[in-house]
Amino acid sequence: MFATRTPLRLSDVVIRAAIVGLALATGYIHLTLGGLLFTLNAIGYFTAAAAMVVPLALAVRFRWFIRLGLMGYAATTIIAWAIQGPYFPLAYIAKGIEVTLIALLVIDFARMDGSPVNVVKRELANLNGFVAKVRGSAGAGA
Amino acid sequence: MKRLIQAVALAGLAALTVACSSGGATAAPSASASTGASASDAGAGVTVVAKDIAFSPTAITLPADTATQVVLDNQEDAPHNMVIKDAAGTTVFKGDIVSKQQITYNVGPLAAGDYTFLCEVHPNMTGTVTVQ
Repeated sequence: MFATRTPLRLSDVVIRAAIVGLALATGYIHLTLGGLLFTLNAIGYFTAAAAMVVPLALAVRFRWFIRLGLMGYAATTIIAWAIQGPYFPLAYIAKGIEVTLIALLVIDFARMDGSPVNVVKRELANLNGFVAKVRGSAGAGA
Repeated sequence: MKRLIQAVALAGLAALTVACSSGGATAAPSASASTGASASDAGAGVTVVAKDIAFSPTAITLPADTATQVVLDNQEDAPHNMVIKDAAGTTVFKGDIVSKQQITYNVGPLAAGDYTFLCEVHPNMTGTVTVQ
């Protein structure tokens, strides 16, 4: 259930801590705005922040997906705000945090997972292996 | 270590870019916050309370063709403002956004008719303005 400890460099820890801190910060800002939509947005950020550091094997295995998901979540929040507003100082601070968050996630992804193309290839290979294994065991059982 | 410095530099650059771009844009809401007459020649105003993500009252009446003061009493930490739109949905007044603060808006003369008001941050906070 829990992942085995993998050695992290100091820079890895600093970047990861910054990502969690920024996600919590923008989540908190959205929480203070009140209303259902902002509260749900805040919960999304808090959940993603937890998923970035939780030592569960499943979360560690799919950390690349969590990084991409958080990038997409922050980008969607920025685009939605750009379309609808409102444009006031606190909103600009939150968007600054989110842009920085995306930049750090890109760096973290590149350092931990490498090229996104390679990640997709690796996951497809894993999926093919899993499907072949399932088919093999089904055939043996018949 | 070199990678760490690069990462920090990149994050700093991103934050700086956003901070610079926000500087000019924040002036926009205040430029349109108050329109029309000054406080001295404005008509007797009304007070609208913002609390629990709702306006109270949700229906106000303003005099036609007269500059009026509208007080927004935001009693909670969540930021609110008042935007008045005409029947066609065109914004005829936009007030500054405030948190836990009372602000007086100078609303310029409006033609008789039915308008709506809402909070720009929480568009589901709405009310009606009857100008007569």
